Amino acid sequence: MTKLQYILKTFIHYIKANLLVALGVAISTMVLTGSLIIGDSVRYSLEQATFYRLGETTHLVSVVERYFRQEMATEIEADNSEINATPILLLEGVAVADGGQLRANKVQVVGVNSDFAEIAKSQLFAELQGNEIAISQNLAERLKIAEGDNLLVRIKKASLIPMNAPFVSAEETSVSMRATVKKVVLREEMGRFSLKNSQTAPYNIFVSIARLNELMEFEGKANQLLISTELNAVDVQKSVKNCLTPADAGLVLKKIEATNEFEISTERVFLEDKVSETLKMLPDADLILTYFVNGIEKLEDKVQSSTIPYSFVSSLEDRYLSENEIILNSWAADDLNAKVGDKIQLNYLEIGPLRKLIEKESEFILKEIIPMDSEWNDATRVPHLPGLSDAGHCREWDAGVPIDLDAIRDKDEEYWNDWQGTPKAFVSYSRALKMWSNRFGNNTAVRFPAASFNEEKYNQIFASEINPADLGMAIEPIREQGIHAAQNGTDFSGLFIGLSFFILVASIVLTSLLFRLNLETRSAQVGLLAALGFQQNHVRRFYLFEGLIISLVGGLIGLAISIFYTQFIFKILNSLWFDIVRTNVLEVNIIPVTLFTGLLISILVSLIAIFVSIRQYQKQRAADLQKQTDSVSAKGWGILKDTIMYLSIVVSIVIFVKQVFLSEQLNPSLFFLTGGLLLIGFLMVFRKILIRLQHRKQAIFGIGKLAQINLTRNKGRSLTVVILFALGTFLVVSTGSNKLDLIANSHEKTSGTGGFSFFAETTMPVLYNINNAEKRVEEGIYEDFTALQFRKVEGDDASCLNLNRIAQPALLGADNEALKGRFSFATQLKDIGDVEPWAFLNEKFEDGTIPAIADQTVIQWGLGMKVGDIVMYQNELGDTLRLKLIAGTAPSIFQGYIIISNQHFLENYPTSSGTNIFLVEGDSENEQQISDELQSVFRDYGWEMESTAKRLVEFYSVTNTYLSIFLALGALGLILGTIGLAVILARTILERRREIAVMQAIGFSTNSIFNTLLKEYFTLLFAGVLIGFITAVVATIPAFLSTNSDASFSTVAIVVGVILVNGIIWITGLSWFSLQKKTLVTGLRVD
Amino acid sequence: MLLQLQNISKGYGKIGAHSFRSVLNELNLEIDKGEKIAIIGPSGSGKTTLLNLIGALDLPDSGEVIFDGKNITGYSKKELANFRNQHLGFIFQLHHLMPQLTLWENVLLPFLPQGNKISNQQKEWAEHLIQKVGIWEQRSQKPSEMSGGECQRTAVVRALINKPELILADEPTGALDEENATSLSELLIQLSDEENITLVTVTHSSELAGMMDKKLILKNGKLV
Repeated sequence: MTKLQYILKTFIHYIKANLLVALGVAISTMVLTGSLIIGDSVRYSLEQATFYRLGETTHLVSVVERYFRQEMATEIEADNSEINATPILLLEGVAVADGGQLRANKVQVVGVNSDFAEIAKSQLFAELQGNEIAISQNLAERLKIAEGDNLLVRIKKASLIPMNAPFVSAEETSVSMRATVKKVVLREEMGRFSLKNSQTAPYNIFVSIARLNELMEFEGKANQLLISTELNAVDVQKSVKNCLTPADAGLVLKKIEATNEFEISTERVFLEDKVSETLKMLPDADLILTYFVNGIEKLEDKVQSSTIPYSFVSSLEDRYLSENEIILNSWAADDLNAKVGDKIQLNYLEIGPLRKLIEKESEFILKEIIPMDSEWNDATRVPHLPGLSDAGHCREWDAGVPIDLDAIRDKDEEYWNDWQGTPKAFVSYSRALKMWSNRFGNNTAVRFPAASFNEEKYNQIFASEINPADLGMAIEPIREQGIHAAQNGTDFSGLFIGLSFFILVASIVLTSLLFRLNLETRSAQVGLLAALGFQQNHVRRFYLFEGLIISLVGGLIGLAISIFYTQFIFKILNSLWFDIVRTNVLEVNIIPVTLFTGLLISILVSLIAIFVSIRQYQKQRAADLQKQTDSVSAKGWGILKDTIMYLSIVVSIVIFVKQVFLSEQLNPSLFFLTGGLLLIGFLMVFRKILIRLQHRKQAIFGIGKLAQINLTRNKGRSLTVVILFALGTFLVVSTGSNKLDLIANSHEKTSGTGGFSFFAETTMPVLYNINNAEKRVEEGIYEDFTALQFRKVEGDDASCLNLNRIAQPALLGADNEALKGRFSFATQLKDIGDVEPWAFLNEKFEDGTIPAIADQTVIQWGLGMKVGDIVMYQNELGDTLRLKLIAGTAPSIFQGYIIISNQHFLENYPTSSGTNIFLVEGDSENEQQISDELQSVFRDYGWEMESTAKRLVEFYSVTNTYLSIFLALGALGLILGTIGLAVILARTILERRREIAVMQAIGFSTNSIFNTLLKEYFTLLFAGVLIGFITAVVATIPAFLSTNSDASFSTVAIVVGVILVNGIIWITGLSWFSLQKKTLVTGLRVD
Repeated sequence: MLLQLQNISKGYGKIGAHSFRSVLNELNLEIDKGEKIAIIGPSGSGKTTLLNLIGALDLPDSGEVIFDGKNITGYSKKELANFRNQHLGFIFQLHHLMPQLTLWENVLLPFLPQGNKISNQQKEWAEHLIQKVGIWEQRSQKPSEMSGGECQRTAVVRALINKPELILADEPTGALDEENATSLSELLIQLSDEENITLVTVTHSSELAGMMDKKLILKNGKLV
């Protein structure tokens, strides 16, 4: 026989007991390795998602609501042969099938050409012609269509002019196309193409870029360049800048023959300030601002005498007239019967956000009347305004503002016929700026005398002064960002290990306990081995080796279970998310190194637990082992344990007091730490109590004293039961109280819904205020409700539904005044004092940062930030927009967004077109009617509406799923506790067989012995549950104080009740069962 | 002189404390090689404690244990373990056989601390002893399959397997019936004689005590 044989024989002999120990190891391996596999798999799945959605794309050149030439792609490739550039025209739309019965909103309509075919490695995309489309599989499933079927695609109308710019018609917001599905593309064929960092698979429609341009009335335009290169973003930027031309800024150069001038105007109506500033650098630049006024009036003693309706008025250089002077052409002067020196008034509309029209008027003195053949009488001074400048008749005007057609006279029609939009009046440039300067720009054109204009110089100065960012062009290493976002997303390994920590501890404690019990069973053997001359370390090695076999067996079992565990968790998450993210995102990815790491760590941890058991046991000297007596703990260890006990309690009290009384916001992590420390402290206090009880002298000897003696006889076992129950209760109660009940008070303004009934989102922006009474009549809205409209800049989804680490969530511009008193805040920046965060949104910090609010979940998990941190965006003007997070809302429907005030939003995104997000509040009794009406009226906008409560639940379903998993793990912890209790109970009763028999022999009734046992074990059960409960409540105080935790109290109460009942049943059952055996006979027979 | 105990004192509890209980008090003992000694005394007189001290399973509070001229009280734990393995054999009241091992394996167990592979010679010696005590037929059985007498005989063989100079037996017949007790007592004496092994036994059995060369009574912490 060899030592190994001895160990193996021992392992096999005690196989049942050893397998029980292995169970503890298996559970810890399962939890630990499972967590690691989950982390690996989530990272892998997200990385895979990045490759599926981007194909070969490494960088993205993008613009928002602007367009550049497709040829730029070819030019960039020519500029740098290491770059492959693919132009696409990416728009949004709505897809409708089955006669309108089936509909998909927020569909990506992607205009592609043969270059895209290369990136996607599928020739199909090069073959799309006319109304042929390729669609993603999820869209085919949603619309229940297949190849060869037809569907209607309503595409958001793209315009070269910002849709909300003054005098731009808003009538046509979408373009329809009846398309035929040529191919349903799979994810491997770029079916999941998306430029957003999200695992959500968008609905995709691919169409030829030429056809999409045609539908949008564009020529050769694109709005995204997909770059594939090994180079870095700086090199890409260099090439983009090299290839940038005035045409990409929408600039149009033409010669005005009548005045012998060159004019630079823009397809966007108003020249951006940076472009104007650059053009001013050219010699003899004459800036022009032409505006559409409602009326030109002649005033006589401030009384209106006559009016010319709807005319263009242009600016002249300041040298021609002062700010209070005006020049009329002779037609206008004749019409008004005006003469030099008369008072002339201009009535015009200032167009505010959401097309809010503000009537304004300005007075002038008529300086001069110019003949109709004057060079200033020039129709080309009027910018191109579709629907207005190209109208055949005045009555056909579609100016994006209300036109009173009755006010238009025949002579006005005649003027239009003869002179088109030729300005009838001229004011100084300075005065024009004061009146009509707007967020879209200050000039409609810049003119240069032909003699001094040099086109080459113009192109040169454009190339040197204008950067891609000035035109809102962003260049990002999108693949790198995607992979970074995937790798730095929610750390699922950490999350699962963190929240499974207590179950890990419980299983290790159980392993240690069971092994120790094993040792105790064989205590005589330990002594015998010593007597036979085995050294202590030999004996230790025997048991350690046996422990290694146990750990290995348990670890391998745990490893197998961990794979099922991961698959089970992913199945839950995938089925939960499928409707939301439209794809099975998560795939189990098993990396052998991870399995090995999990196994190794579990074995090591278990071995340490086993080693500690053996060591503690061996502290009893060989002679003592023979006599079955405990040794006294070393004094040094006692002091250390006391120090840990006091430190844990003191530190937790300090943190608690500081958080509750001195901090402005409750930090959940610190509370959890406090609870954890208190748990350790209380458990050590219990240990101390056991020691005290052991040495306490009690005069009266009775059943109580007997129970107390028994309780303290084996402190380790008693403490283990308490630890297991405390940990299980702590985990279950803390997760249970964190589970959110979001429906309970969803009607309240301070809840996560803000008191709103519906959350709606449109694909096409709504350009007007839907609360406006006149507009409601016009659109046929009769239900009584109010809607809060939000502007939106697209960004990544930063909600819990996105597992990636997000840098730039979608940005919302809000009417912050209307949000006052709504929602609750979980965190708030100290610097803003007691001001309600919504009220502070219009402020600006000294360093230029702009206050912003987001859902606390977004801040913490999506962004990985905290209140006070800065989120950076590139605004439309190419500048860096720095947003300081001033507050985080408690769980709300704003998950996924960052909110700033409308004021700051429009400063930074001046050409933003209308609103896409809506919060609707109405009488709860009419909710269905309101919902039906809005769905119907805004159907063509791609209106998608859901109840705010449902939205909230959907967002937090993920959080609640995690919590359910951890609750289940907590329950597993309690099962472990129960197993521990049962084993200890059975073992102790077995050991005390003689003692019980003697008690029976000397006349104790079975009932009184039963009572003794109950007292003993109920004490342990209640102590464990009480310690776990108190510390869990402390750990989750922020959750208890949250407005959304009403139902959690009942959950917690039920959970605690179940724990106690479970324990009571086991204790009572096992005790009773053991006493029913013939204890007297069997017990005394030994003696 | 094989063993010499000089002024051995041993007690339980903290010295000086009220709860301290002195068990052995300035005890002296000398045992010659091959001598057979029975230690008798009432329960709680410290017999097992004395045996544990002789067997280096416990250390005295004061005094010296000298074995074959060497003071073993100064030995390190490793040296003590080695000492027990090479020079001593133990027999307990309960056989303390490893339930997971067969009779054969239990007997061979003391060879394992020596680290080497068990030699054929050692196996032959084991077989010889097992044959001698008459339990060869049971060699493949586990303790649970053997009678109390067989188990205790196995324990005797295990005590002899390393050819010790001294066997310490703590109530070796205490758990046996009269017939088995007599048989085991005779066996112990016979084997000690044959192998010239010194035997120290703690016993309540007058029969076993009567077979010894010397009977010592432990009283008030001293041998008389």
